[in-house]
Amino acid sequence: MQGREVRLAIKVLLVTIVLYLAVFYGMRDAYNKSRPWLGAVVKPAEIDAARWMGEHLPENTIVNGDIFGGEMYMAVAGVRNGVGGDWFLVNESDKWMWDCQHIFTTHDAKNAWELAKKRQMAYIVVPPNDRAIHCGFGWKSHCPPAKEGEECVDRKKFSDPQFFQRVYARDEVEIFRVIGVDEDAWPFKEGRDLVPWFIVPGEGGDQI
Amino acid sequence: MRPADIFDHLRVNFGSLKGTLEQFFDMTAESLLVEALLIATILLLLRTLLNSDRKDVSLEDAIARSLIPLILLGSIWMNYQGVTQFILPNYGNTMYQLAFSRFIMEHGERVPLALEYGGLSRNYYVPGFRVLIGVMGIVLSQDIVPTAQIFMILFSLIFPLVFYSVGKRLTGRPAGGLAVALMFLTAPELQIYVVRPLPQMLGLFFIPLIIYAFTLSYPLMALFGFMVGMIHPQSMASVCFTLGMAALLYGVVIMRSILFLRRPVSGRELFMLIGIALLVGGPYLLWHRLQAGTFSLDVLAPAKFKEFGKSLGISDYLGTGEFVFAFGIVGAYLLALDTRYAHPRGRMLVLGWVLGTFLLTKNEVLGVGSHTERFLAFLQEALAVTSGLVAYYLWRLLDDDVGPGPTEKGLKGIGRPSF
Repeated sequence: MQGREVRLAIKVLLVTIVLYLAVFYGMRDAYNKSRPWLGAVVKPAEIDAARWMGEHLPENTIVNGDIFGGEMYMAVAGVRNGVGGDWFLVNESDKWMWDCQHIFTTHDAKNAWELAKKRQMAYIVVPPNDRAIHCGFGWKSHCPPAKEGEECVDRKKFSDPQFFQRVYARDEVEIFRVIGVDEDAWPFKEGRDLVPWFIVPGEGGDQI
Repeated sequence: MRPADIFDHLRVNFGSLKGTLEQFFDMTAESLLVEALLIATILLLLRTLLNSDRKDVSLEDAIARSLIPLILLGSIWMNYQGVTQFILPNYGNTMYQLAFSRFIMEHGERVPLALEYGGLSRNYYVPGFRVLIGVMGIVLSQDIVPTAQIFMILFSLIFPLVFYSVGKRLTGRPAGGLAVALMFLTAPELQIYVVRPLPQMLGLFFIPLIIYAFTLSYPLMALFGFMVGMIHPQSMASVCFTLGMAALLYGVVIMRSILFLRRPVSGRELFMLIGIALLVGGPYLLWHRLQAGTFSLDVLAPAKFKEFGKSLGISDYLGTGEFVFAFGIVGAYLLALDTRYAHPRGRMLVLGWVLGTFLLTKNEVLGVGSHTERFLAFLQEALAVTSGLVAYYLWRLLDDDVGPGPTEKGLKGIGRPSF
């Protein structure tokens, strides 16, 4: 075998090893590590609900969805959500997150209504039972049957007509209107001054 | 048989033929694309083999070019799930970013306040990405989700081509481009961002183009840099640190030439790097001033949310992709020591890229201590390029004819510093 051929054989061997490692180790590793980030999280039934909101609710209506649902509602329906997005840039974002979570998890209808009213949320969107919510402090599943003290999404309390009115129900997704929210008080209504821009970090916690 | 019967007969048969073809090829848009790329690869390889006796085209170059569709196929494999599921990936605030683009599509202007948390804060985020998607939606007359899906399909094809171009430009050979494009697909932290429609993705797209443009045209480089500054703050920081570190390297080389070699050299590259870094960071600061009312970055939450006591260790770097990290470090080392395999200007900037982004992942040493993990993607992008150079280096290792390429000779001819 000539020297040139030996060198070519060595080169081919080296490149084959690198190629093998790149394709069967590197690419596979990259594929596997990027998969969890591709999750939709939300369910198709929620997309249908978002389309319904886009058709029936005024633009910029504040709703209460969790981070993943809420961001999708903002993009698909043109509404605004209580939580989501640049949480670290907003004053007291952690308090909004707690309120979002407690609206879903409290078993007390009045408590949920007060929190929603405080945040001027006109609607509450409850996702299907097989979709846990995440308002910034961990995943919360739906209550099997609601138990006192258990932190889980309790959709039953929203049936109280004194505080909430169901306006949409399909494939386990429900949308409730919060009775008595003053929609004219929203800060982004035309002619209203902007709140001075400043940032005071919240108290932290295990936020995502 | 009447003419109408003939037409009916043809219609029925054509319909069944179409059905058979659709069944055979499973003609969804994605599978059509995959099949088209496979067929393109086979045709290109066939053409290469048929033309292998041509003296003006190197067989190695021709084979390397023929394999480009396979790299595109790999990129589609990575992106397939994200693009084809019923809604775009929802992690990392993708839909939140698209919500702003939707507003631009609906109203033709930027939303003045944040969409979440009751709209209590100014929408300070640089608008490049949101405007791009919004305008794209207006042009395509599509809703925001299909628009973003089209955007993702386009970029899954363009991204590897950008890395191919950078590798080819650095090494002067298509095989170098192919190696770099392949290594782009092996960087997990990079893939995590480029498979979703995010400003990070667009920032990561423009950074290699800046490297490419540095070897070609300063105005083009400044344009890409400006776009990064208007798209994503962390990408902007990565570019500024890259250019800064490259300027530092140039400074050391120039000082060495003047002080020890007593040889006058041009400092043009050094000044251009500093100038372009100002063009990248300046518009961002101006934007920040308009939104926040101050030039001080201390009011930004990333500056306030310090990661106290946090410092990325070797396990963090390896854990996000040991393959590209190990190969990339070797590549950077080779790039620093061996001048034969890379474009001289490109080489300095890539070294600055590796050092600058590494420094950002350790930004606690600069007293910042914020979002160190997020800069891993930017470091991996630089390491993906240097990893590709290792593969190329191995291929050229035993060649006799390794030497400065035509670009390097040309640079020496016009009095540029040699390194």
